[in-house]
Parts: sequence; C-alpha cells; structure tokens
Amino acid sequence: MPRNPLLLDACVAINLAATYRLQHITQAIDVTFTLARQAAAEVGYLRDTAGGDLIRTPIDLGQHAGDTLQIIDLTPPEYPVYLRLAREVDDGEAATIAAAAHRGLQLATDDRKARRLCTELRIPEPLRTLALLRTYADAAALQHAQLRDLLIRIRDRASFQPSRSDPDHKWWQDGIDTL
Amino acid sequence: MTNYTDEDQGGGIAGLASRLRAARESRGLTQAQAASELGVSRPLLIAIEKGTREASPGELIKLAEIYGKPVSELLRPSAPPVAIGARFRAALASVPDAGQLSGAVTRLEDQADNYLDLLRRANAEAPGRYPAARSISHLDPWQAGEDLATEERNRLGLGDGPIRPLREVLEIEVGLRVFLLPLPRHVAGLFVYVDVLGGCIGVNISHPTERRRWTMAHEYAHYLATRDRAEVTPVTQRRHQPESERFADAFAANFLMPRSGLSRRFHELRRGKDGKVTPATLVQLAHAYGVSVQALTLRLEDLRLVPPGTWDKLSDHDFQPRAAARILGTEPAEQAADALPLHCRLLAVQLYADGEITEPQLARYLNTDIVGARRAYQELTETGDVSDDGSPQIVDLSEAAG
Repeated sequence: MPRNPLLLDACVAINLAATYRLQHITQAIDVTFTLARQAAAEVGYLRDTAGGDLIRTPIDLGQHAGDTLQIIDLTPPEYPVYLRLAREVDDGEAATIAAAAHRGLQLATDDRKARRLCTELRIPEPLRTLALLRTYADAAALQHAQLRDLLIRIRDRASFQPSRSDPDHKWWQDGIDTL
Repeated sequence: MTNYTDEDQGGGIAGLASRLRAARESRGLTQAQAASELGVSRPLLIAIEKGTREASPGELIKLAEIYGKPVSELLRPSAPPVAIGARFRAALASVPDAGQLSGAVTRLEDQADNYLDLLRRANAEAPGRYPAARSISHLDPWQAGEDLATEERNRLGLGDGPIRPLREVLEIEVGLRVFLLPLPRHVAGLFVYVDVLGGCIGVNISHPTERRRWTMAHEYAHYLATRDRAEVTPVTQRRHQPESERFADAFAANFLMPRSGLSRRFHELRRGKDGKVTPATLVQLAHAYGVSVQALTLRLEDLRLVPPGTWDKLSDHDFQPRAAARILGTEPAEQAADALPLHCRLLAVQLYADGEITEPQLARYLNTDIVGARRAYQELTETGDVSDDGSPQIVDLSEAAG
C-alpha cells in the first residue's frame, strides 16, 4: 500500500537529510517525504568537518527518489495561490504551502512566517522537525545514545537550533545534553 | 485577472514589467528569443514587458524559469535598480576584462536590489549622514585630498587617530554601502551613486584587508567629489595616475593616516628606539593604522618623515612586510569578509527574528544557502557570554521581543 505523503519545506528537509536516516524515518513513521520542486532547489548544503576544515556537503535528494522521497510539480490550478504567496515568501515555501492548500496534504515546517500563512489559509497546523523526530524515535524505539547522535548531527551538520517556544524544545535539549 | 501583482504597494504590473525586462536583458536574451522560448509572439512579449498586458500565471512561472530568476524576486513591488548597470556602461567601455567586470556589476545590482527590498519590508531607511558633493576642479589634487579628508574627519568627530572600524564608519556614519565582490585581480574597487540607495562601493574581496581599507577610503573620495560618475579603480602605480585618481589616493592617505596623528605616533616610536627608524617601526605603525607597510612608508615619505625613496630601498633589499609582521606579532587579523553591508545583514536577521521573512529568504538576502544563513544568524545574535554548558549564548531575538 502506498504510504501517506508528508510535504516538507526545504528547512525541514535539510534537518532530516542531516541525520543520514531518511529512509529509516519514512519506513518507521510510514510516510513518503514530498517536496515541491522549488523547495527541493533550495536545500543547498550541509556542513561537515574534514581534517579540521569545515566543508560543504551537497544534499542529494535525488538518491532517495522513490518510496522515501518524491518531488512534485505544481499544476495550473495551483499557480494563482503560488504566485500570491510568492509575493510574501520564497518560491519553495510558496509552492509547498500552495500544494498543501490545494491537495490537502499534511505539511511540516518550523518557519514562523510559513506557519502564520498556513493559519491564514486554514491549513491544518503543520508538524515541526522535533515532533517528527520524536514520533520517529518512539516508533523505532531508538536507544538514548542513538537519539543523541541523531540530534547532534542535525545541530552540527544543519546548524539547526529549535525555537525555545517549540513544544518539544525540552525533549531536544534533554536528548542532546543529558543522555 | 490573476491578482498576483500588488497595486497598493506602488509596483503592480509596471514593477513586474520592468523586472521582466531587466531579467531578460541580464540573461542576454533578445525579445524574439525569449518570446520563442515562452511560445508566444514577440509583440505579446513586448506588451508584457510594457505592462499593457499582464502575464498569465503559467507565463510568469515559465519566464522565471527561462530567465533563471525566482518568481518571488520578479514579484517584488519596486522596479529593479537597473541604473547601476546603466551608469557603469561608459566606465566599462574603457577597461580591459569588461566581461568579468560586467558580471560583478550585475552582482552589485542584485545585492542592491536585495538591500532595497529589505528596507521596504522593514519600512526603514538606509543609515547615514550624507555629506554634500564637493567640487575639486581647478584645485591641486594633493591639497584638495588632504583638505577634504581633514574636513570629513572633523565632521564625523574622528580626531586624528587610526580608524579601526573603517567599514562601519563609512556605512553607518557616512551612509556608503560597501559590498565585497569578486573582481578581476587588477581592479581594486568600483563606485556608483544611485538615488535610491546612495553611494555604493564594490571592493575586491580577494585583496588583503589593508588593501580593501585603502580602496574603501579611495572610493569614498569619489563619492565626495565625483559621485555623478561611476568609477572602476584599477590597481596602478601612483606615478601613472590621472588627476581624479591622485586626488582620491591623497584623500585616502590623509583620511587613513592624518598628518598630525601620524607624525606624533611616528616621533613617539622613534624616541623609544633612540631616534632610529627601523623596518620594525614601519611595520608597527602600519599595523596601528590598518594599512600596508608600502602605503605607510609612502605616506611618511610624503610627509618628509623618512627620506624619499625609502620604500624603493626596502624593496631593493627584498624586505618582506608580511614576514616581518609575523615575527613582530602584528599580522593583520584576517577579518571575515562579509560581502554585504552590516546594516543590510542586520535588517535581514531582525526581519527573520520577527517572523517577517522565511529562512530561505534570509539565505537569499545574506547571499548564502540555508545552513549558511543559520550559521550567520547564530553569529550575529551571539553574545559575548556563555551558557551554563559553556557553549556560546545566543539571544533569541524573536523571544526577546515577546
């Protein structure tokens, strides 16, 4: 049976790509990550260290094409909403929100502005990176050390710092600090 | 029809039309080529570029793809600052490597466009206490440079000491916009004045810190005296310069190393060394003023504080200023080469913290990718303090604002 599509914006996709576990995550929580082509074009690079130097590692979403990840193109009926949103936000966020609005897909974004636009468009509340990770950690019964490694990769490779107002901020902090 | 342009913000179809035209030109396409790729007639494309016919959503998305521009950029309500390229046209006609320079001018245009868009979003104005334009015609370039540098230092309350945060002074106090750009090796900098943004300086990002400081001061002189003319400043020997360049160099020398302050420091150092002037004296002074040893020595020659020909003599003896600075521990700290004006970066960070722009927009305004923008955000919001776990403390501006 096909898995449920979960729309990611570029920022959430970067965080998940930093874990090296995209495939495991989709299997564990039974979803296919879905990105608008414009959002996929924005993901850029992760940061790694090699021999003490900081290097940029390209994020290759193409290698996950299939059950793990699919790239979608907007259709003409979605264009007007996309263009109206593109006056406010970047192309990737505009295309992602337009697809969520038109296709009724579940969306994941941490971005404050994007989340505000979703509320205005009456799109169901989007998931956040930490909620997704927490669901995955529970579903996959991750050991504490595994979870810590995962979170540290996101912090270091994607330079991600969740907002203190994120409902799972304490879970993140505990996961990194004390485990 | 489609309601994706915004007449209320003063841009609307006209703003979009001018952006489409500029994007096509910047891509180097003729109207016929663009029309063919879009699959419409040339007259229809012309009508879209004139704003007499609104592009359909599908056409607009396709045009953005053809021109390699984000749709969100084409939809900005203001017209793009194409005046920058137009003003440089004459200046570029007379320089070698015009092709490479033209790429840098396009980059400057893009960055200026981003800065203007940030100002619009923040409902802010670019900072600065703009000086009036001065005329230097019929004046001795050297004297005019010295007089104007002294006057500007007085106007800005800078005294006669070294100016360490030169870029900040020029950006915040004077109102110049300093962009670091990849320029051909033999080009030190660019200057252009546009009404919407004021004086814009492009500095060669690959030049050493001291050279970049000199270039900023040099272009500042053009801003004061010849702002109606776009300038491309080559790296040249000062013996072969036209008058306007000699004036700008004289201004830079006097602004960075004022006669009174430099003389005083020179004599103090000399007294501490039993009246001798050694290469170490020159290295120390150059370090204090943030200039190269060559610029410092030539300035001391001009002020008759060292004999004429001192720099040539040092060069003949294969004097290595960098090696000397390393031994003396006065090597210039290679500052992070932030390509954009500080005010521009701060505006972007504040808008992001306020939830007014998205993370990919922050990345675009900061001219980096998303992870690069996260790192820049953390750097710009980091305090000098540390958290309980010893990591740098970051002030969350969004939460501080409640």
